[in-house]
Amino acid sequence: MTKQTRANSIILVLTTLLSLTLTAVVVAQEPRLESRVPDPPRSEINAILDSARAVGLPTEPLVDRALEGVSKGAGPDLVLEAVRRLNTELVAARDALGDQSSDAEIVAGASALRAGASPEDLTYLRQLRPDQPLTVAAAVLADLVAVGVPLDTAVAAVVALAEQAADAEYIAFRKNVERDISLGASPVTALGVRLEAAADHLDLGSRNPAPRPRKP
Amino acid sequence: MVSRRGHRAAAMVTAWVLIAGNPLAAQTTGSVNLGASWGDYEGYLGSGAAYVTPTLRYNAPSLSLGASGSLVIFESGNRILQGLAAGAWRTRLHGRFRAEISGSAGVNVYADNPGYGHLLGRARFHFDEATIGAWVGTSTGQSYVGVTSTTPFQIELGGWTVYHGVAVNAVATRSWFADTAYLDIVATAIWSDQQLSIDGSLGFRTWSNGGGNGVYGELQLGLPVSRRLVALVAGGRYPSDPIRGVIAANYVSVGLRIEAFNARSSSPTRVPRTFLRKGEDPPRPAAGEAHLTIGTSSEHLRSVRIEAPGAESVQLSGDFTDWRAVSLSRTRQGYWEIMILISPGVHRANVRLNGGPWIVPLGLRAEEDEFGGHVGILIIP
Repeated sequence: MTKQTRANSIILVLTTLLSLTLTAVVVAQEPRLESRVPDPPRSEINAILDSARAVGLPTEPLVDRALEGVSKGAGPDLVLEAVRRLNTELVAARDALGDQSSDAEIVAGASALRAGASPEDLTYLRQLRPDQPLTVAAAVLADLVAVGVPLDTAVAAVVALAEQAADAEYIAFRKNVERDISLGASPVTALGVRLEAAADHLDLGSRNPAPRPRKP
Repeated sequence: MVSRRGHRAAAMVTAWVLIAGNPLAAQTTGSVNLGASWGDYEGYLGSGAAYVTPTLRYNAPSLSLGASGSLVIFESGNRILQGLAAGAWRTRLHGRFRAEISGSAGVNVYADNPGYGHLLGRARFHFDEATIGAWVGTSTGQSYVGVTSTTPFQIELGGWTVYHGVAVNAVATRSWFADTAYLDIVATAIWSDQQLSIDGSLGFRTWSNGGGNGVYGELQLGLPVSRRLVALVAGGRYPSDPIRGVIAANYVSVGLRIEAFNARSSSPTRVPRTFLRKGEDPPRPAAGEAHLTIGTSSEHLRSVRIEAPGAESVQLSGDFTDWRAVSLSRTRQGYWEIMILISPGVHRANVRLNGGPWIVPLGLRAEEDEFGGHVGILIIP
């Protein structure tokens, strides 16, 4: 094989690889965005999706967020900003929860971070529930904060339940707290009463921190 | 002490008249309590408070009426505003027996919480000797938080005696309230002379489902300073009272009672209580509102059910519909349903009634959606 032939072969291989790469990039374009999200901000969002894929983050939530914005009539800037912010939260959640976390856990973790939980809180939860999914625990944490439970109290409650509570018990706990609040109890009181009941049921003992109450 | 003593002073004044075996001549009393307290409510940090409590009462052999109010201001600036009216009517003695009918109505508002109220009636049948007696009774009515009401029910068996000037009674009360039930056994003693009055109680709660268990007790000392001024010192622990929507607390208080007229009025200095009730369902959605619940059919196939009174059409949109509006089918008047695939995890959704704006239905946590509105957060375990 002459040098020229070898050079042509190398060029052919490189061209083919480049074509395949470009094709792959095109395939990686999110089809759900194509018909519903105008450009801009579609190109920018696709770039964010590419970067998310590259680091192993779930992209479905990002697409969903873009579709939500478009369906609600938001402008391109708002949609793009929402997707960027969620991407940042997903990165932080995955870093806090670990690389082995499921997509659902990362999304729930991002929700908890948005509610005010710290990455250290999520990491601690992971340590307490190494073999159980964190999706519901993290989501319940965000819910408790949203209904008015002070952040540190909500974190303490979710942590207190972490080692013993199944997902269904977390759900029941949150539901009972919300019900008490809707009936007029203060969030801290409702949380305290329901946590005490859960502690009796789950035999939590005294090694877990109690929620930090506040003054009336 | 404002709350519970308010009830006791007004609604239960009849009991003391009968217990003492010495019905007062008709008299009207008025007083104002004011002072400071330290309370440790369950679920809260200890907190100081200032209070003022006016009380007005009318007592006659067959009729007692009372009204009181209170304003309590905590360290945090949160306030409790309470009002209570109560009355009791007794028949004349028929041999050694008499009947009594009483009622009370009260309202409480704490901080920004929904107002709490109650409307309770009670019937008692008394057996009275000169220095000893007993009664059986029952009570029921309505307790309210906001627009939600529940019917409590109580039965009681009590007895009283007077020994060397000390009036003592003991009563066992079994209470049912929604899914909560408990038995209280309480002994109370009252003694007074010109220099000092002592009012103490000791009780315990048992046979409880949701009402807690344990011992509680209170002691109040009254020291007359002048003809119209009494110094009050009180402390102890009182139990939760789900029927009146209050939580247990330890407290101490010091204060003054200014007696506008008649020195026999007694309005204690217990710290008031906040509100908590258990075992009820939250309010149903009103017209224009929706309440969403999720069921499971198989694997990830979920039944999404929405209660929307008065709606002519209901649509759902969320990340599990690719944020496309899907219409629900009416199953019966006010109820709509759709079967849809929703994977475990955290999801976002909105609901639309009659083609109107997208709203967050009851049953979902509402969160700002970054697009100028709100979105419901749904957890699928």
